[in-house]
Amino acid sequence: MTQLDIFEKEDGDRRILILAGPVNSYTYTDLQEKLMKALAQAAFVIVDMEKVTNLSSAGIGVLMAALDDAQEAQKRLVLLRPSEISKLALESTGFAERFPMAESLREL
Amino acid sequence: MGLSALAFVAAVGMVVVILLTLRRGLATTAIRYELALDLVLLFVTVSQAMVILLYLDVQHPAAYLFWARAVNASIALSEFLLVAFALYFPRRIHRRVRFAALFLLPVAAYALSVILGSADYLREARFGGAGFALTPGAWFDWMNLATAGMGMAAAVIHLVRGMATDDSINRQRSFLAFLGVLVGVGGLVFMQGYGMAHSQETWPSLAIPFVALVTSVMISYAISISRLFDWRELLKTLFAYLVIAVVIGVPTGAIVALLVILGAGSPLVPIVGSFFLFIAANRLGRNFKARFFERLGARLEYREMLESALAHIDLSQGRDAVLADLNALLTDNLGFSDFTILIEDDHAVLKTTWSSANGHANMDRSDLVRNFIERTNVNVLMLSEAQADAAYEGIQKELLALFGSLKAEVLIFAREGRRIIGVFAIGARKIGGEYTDYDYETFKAICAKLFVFAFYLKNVARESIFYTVDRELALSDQVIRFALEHVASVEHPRADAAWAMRSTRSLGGDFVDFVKMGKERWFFVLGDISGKGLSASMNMLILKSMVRTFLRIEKDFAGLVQRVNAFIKDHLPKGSFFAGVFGYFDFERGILYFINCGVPAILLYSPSFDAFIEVQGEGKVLGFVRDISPYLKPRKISLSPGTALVVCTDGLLDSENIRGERFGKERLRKSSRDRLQESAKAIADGVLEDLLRYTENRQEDDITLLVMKIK
Repeated sequence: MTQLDIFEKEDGDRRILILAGPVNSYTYTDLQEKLMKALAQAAFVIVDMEKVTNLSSAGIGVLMAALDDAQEAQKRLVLLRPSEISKLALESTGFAERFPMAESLREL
Repeated sequence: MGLSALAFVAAVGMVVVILLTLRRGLATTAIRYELALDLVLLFVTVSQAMVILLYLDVQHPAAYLFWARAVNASIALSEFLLVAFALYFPRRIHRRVRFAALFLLPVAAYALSVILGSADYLREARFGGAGFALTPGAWFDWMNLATAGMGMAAAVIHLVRGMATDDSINRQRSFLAFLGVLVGVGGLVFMQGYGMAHSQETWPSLAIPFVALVTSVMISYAISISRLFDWRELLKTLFAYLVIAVVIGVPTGAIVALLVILGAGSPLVPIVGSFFLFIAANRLGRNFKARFFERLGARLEYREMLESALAHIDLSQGRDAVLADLNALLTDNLGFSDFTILIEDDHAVLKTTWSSANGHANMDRSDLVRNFIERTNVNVLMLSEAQADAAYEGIQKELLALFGSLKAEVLIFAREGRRIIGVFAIGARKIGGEYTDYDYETFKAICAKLFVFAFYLKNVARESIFYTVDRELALSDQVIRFALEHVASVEHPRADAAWAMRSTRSLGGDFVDFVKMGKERWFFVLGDISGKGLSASMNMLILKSMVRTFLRIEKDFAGLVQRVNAFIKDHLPKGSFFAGVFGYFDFERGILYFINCGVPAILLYSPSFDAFIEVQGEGKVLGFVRDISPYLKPRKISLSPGTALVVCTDGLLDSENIRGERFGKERLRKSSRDRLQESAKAIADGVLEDLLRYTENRQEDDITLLVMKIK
């Protein structure tokens, strides 16, 4: 799969972005745009990463920037059910524990 | 005794001023006169302290008379020195005026001889009863008035020069000198007069050293400043401290007073209570100040916005559009009128590339100003510094001519190492205001970002490029090619080193760099800056340049990595991070020191085990957290003969074959092991061949590989 599909959903005051496909140098701009928009509009943003098939450094950069923005604005950003490959990519930064993660919506 | 001690405190202050003056260097006549003035005032200060000390302990009328005359003569000498200083500060006055002023020399000599040796000035100095009494001669008042008149003349000269000058910095410096002289001369005249009228009081004797100190500090400060005051910042600071004093200081004082009352005569309660109270008040004050400044600064400060906007200019839109964007952005934020850019051409001549003001300059490699600046670490130079800083005295004429020809008030230099590859000349502000310290700090902050534009204009934005179909790819290719062409190779009899890099059409930020640190020591950095496309390539280049810059100024290995981390966090676009490794090869001791910052594999071949072992340990990428120091783990490994080192970025390990299987560490191990008897270059090339065979020539990410064999 070379295309990243991003579905947006509202769940009360939470905004959920569901990703399906690779987050790499070809697709990260779309995620960047939608994630920034969601963070500007909602106080709690959840990124469902269960169906992410690849997370490159460009994608990690988008998540890092979004996390910084969320913390500065005192908002919440949580990565939901990150796929194994996403987890590995985040762990490769050495700062995986800094990304708030959850295994189910009920935890949040 | 207490008064004497206070006078000695003033003397210590004078000594500090003198040491600071000496440290700055005696580059100009004005500074030399300042030093002479400081020494004379130090003598006055120490003499006053001694007079007070002796007055309290012994009675020697002859000695007191000598001291009194010596102090008054020194005060008179200082007045003449103030006139001499005024003739040379901020710049030397016209030769005719200085020549005419020479008539003061015999006048000064005569005045000093009268003060020191004639009973017409001072007949007797007595220290009896409750105080200090002088018996003046007939010329005492006249002589004091005349010498004070000299000092006042110096003040007037500063005032007139301040009003007459066109440049703001020297106006500010002249006014400061005027104030310093006014305080000094006025204070001394008042103290001398008051002391005579109230001979039973000793505080005028104490006040004289402090007046001398204030004068000395103000004049020294007037000389040392080369940038305009940021009045806004000054007022803001004063206001913040005033609020802190009222909100925190007063209640703290009240509680301390309460503790004294509650202590009922016991010092323990107020002492212990005050100790903790002051710690708490200090912490509270700091927090309060930080928040207060944030709020005050929110509306007025533009630095962050400008930095962010500069980082978002799209370089792939072409030279003219980039220049237009850059000009518009800087003009909007700084409100200046003229803007000129000089860029180094193929013949190493800095030439006008773009100007909104017809500013022109050509600076070849032999240009005096260029040579001078390249020998320093200066990245931002304000016109006021060229006008006022003694460091530029020798080259002031040429510098001012350059500022003039570029119609500039600020020059920002873009450097590769020491070499200047671009100059951004920023003109005067349109509406009155001057560039302040805050602007200066902003210019320093955007320096690295302007380097990107200088690099882009010098190496990338060539006319031929605009005809390519895919402009971004072509531009980025140029950047990467430039980076590859400028890597020094390791040449050491004990080492055989080689590296291989293969970038993809998606364009990334992989880089490798070696720097020779000495006969036996080499520094290296290898890694990947996140992101893709032209901006990632440019970030890679900036980072490479900054690492070389930090290497010059940072001696501590971990400190270097911390600086790189801070640079990425503060200056590269949000979300940028660097995954790589920094290392030092010490061939003399056969040791490699390294800090892994997120590189996935550092394999060491050990002849004793006849196998490659992983030594990379844990690594944290740079640019994610502000303070990386707790995460840095410097490591050390021995490089005995026969060892080999293989380091690579994630692109190599993560490359997949058609079935989606990663190349991985095992294949890297095997590929390297199979070629161990060959040269480092053969190993590096061979691993790449194996990889491309495995992926059937598909490549999704940049690949960088370093191989080092120890002989």
